[in-house]
Amino acid sequence: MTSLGEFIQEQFHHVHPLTAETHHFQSAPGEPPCRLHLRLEPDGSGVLIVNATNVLHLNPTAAEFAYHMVKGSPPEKAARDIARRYRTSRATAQKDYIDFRDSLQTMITRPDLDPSDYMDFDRVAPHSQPLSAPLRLDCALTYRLPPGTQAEYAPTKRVERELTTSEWHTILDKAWAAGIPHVAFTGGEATLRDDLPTLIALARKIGLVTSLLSDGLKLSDLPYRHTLLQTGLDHLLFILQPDLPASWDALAALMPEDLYTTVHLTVTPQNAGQAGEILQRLAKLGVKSLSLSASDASVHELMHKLPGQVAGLGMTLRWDLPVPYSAENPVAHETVADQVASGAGKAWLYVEPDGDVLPAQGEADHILGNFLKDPWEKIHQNQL
Amino acid sequence: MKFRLISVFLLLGMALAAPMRSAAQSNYSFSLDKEVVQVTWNADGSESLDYVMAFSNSPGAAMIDYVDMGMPNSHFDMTTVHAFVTADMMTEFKVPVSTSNYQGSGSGFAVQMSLPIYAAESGSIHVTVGTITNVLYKDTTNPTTDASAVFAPTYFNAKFVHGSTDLTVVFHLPPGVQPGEARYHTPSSNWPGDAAPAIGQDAQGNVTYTWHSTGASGSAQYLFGASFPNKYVPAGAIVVPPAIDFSGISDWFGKLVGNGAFWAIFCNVVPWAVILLFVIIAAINAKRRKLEYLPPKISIEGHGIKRGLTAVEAAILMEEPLDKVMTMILFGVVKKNAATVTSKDPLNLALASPLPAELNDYEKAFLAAFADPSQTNHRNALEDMTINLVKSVSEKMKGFSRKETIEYYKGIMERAWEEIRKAGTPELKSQAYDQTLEWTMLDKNYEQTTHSVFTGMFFVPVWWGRYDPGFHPTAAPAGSQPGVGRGTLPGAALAASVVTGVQSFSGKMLGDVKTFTSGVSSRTNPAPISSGGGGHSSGGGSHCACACAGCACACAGGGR
Repeated sequence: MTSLGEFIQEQFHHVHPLTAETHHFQSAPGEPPCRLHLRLEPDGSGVLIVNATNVLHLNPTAAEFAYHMVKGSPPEKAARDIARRYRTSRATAQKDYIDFRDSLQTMITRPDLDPSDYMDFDRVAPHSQPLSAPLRLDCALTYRLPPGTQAEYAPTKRVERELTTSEWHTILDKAWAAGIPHVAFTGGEATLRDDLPTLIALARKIGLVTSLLSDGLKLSDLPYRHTLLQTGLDHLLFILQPDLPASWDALAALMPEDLYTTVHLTVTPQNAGQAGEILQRLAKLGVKSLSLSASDASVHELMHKLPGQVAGLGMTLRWDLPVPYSAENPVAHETVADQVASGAGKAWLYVEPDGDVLPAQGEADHILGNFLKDPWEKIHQNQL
Repeated sequence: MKFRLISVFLLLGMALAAPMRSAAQSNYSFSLDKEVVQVTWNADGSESLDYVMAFSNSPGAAMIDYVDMGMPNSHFDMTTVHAFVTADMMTEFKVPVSTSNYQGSGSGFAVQMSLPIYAAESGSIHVTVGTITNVLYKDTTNPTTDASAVFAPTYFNAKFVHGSTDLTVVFHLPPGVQPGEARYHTPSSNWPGDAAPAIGQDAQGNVTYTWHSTGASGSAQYLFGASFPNKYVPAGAIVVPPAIDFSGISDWFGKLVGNGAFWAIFCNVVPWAVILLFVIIAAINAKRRKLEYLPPKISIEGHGIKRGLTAVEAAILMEEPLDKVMTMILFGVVKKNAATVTSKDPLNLALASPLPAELNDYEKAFLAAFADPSQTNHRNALEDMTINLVKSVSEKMKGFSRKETIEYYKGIMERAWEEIRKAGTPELKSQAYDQTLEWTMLDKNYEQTTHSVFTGMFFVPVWWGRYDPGFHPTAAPAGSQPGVGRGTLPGAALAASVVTGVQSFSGKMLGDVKTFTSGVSSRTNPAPISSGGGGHSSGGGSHCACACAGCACACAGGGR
């Protein structure tokens, strides 16, 4: 309860926007899975990331509603607080808060509804809005690859050393402090790092959404798989090697697990002829989320056709993920005319095994700083 | 002496106290190891500040993420405020400052430590303030000739700061002031260093007073001051407090307080008057101090137009009736030579063998439905096909705008009609129509538009006979365009034939279209979850009895 002194003091102080920081919500076990990350900006506006996929930009009023939603405020309390801070009545604030909360819940529970049409959200082009920090940090833990891996999968830049576990811990802390809500562990092959489970657990403990980009072969080992699952890993991006039986075996072992898995398929001139069969095989395994990219211009036409087949098989197409040839995805091809801005260097950054920061994988000649050694402010200024 | 006291009082009241961050975060614990403050009294009567502060955060303490900087008054120009953190021993990085995040008392601003000082770590900040006005007062000893400049460095809440501080305060007097013309004030009694400052000159030749102590406290208020001839600053820069002689009032008040009746009135009336006054002020202030309320606005990142849909998929998106969608599929498979209508009542198809390769999944499912001789099975299979079609369109639309996509396909439909209208001859018109038939069927006024476009004869395409088993072509001119058949129909008959096709679907194949649509929508578009909290309608998705595909399809946009 507010003391009389605080009440009197309140009457003579101008109200300021809520403190700029990141808030996190995760639904309780047994409830529909939902993770919200709310980043409050100094001007009072906010960015709300829903389940690490939907990016919502909020005006100051909506940001404050989202704050109450993340904190689990009942409508009466939210309305009371809003009416004390804004020039509005409690009744209006309560009605708007309930509408806001219902709209978000509908968006979360009904991903088939168009939020613009059914929830009156405005649409803005991807990566078109200013961000005070990226939404995702792709952390290449190592550039090592399993023996026998094809040379084309090898990263282009070599590093002199890999960061230690505690150094990565520092980076994760700094990322969260900067307002970055999502971290993706990648490589090389990230599972070659023995401390991968530790790092995932640390990231989760901080509040970050965690993704792992892997060929998945090591996850066919049951104890290792369960170790990773127990860390709280949120999302696996499984890089399918369709001509490798072990890759299919690993995927078959993974799919029954309680882990949101997106399968990535790089369509090459060599496998283009079997792309349809590969998709059907994936659908039979229960894959619901798919990422596609093309290695070669000769398969671009096929890339226009495959999304139809993917939809017909009940799979959802994902893009903007840190996968090989990530710029060559079907959606990028389809939206060329819209001149969609790239998210590299803005919505996401890439950290090399030695801590150097790049806008995205493969842009080794464009170092923005070192995430371990440099303050975030410097990296952000270079990013801009 | 009276004015001097007033000036000091004003400064104290308005400027000094500046605890670090919110008291709610009581696990702050740090030492202020070193502080150097350069206070420059400018020729225009303003003041400039330059702070360098080195902190050491205690092990286990909360990170230092903001530093509140108290200012002498509210007349500081935020555009001249700059703050830097020192990441290593060499490099400074600019960091944000804002008054909105300031949580100290009085006036000031907050430095946002983009590179926070974590527990057991050290760090420095460098803050400069270019212009602060209303900082000079009349000197109490020589009020007509001298100006008084008093300053106290910002300090922190004693609950959080510990240890001693190596504090240096340097006054730079205005240009032109000579050493013999100025005098320093004795610092406040709690100052642990020498009262007399070191006197010197800065790089610009201005007189400097430097106070220094290694045993200062980061939580103590220390007052430093100097007086100098007021001719070196504009007269208007010196703050003149209201010159009221309170001595008469004081005498009268002394007599009054000796009167018992006064106290009786005072005790009974004044508290209520104060409360009333407070309520009035609070009510006046309430609106002014609050933030402006704008309705909550949410913008979602997503793509615009979903290109590459077929006309049938666009029809689903555009909420065309399902019997019309079925007719469009029928036209599609007939045009692709995958089927021939053998009878319209009941509708029976003869399927090609083998089927053409370029069939869509929904076309294959459509033909498969007709492979079964049972009418009941037709209906069930068509329902399954429709459900899959709706789900497929919904999947394809994820991340794209439904509204913009519908507009896009409406544009395609309008351009299709435009192409047909622009064609110079009936034959060319018919050819254009053949090529764009499915798109023109997206027109909600399809029948009327067909009537208006085909006022004469329509040259039927080569496949028309496969669609209409009762069609008997009349002679067509020699040398017809490729794709145009050897027969003609009146335009009105063409429109009627297509519309009849739709009706035969609704009546004979699907049964009651509303029931058919409801069967589809119950599986593709279940009722949305209601929060039950205040009569909100989130729109879309309810079960309805109309026959539009929109009730079955609530195709999604947004997200990535």
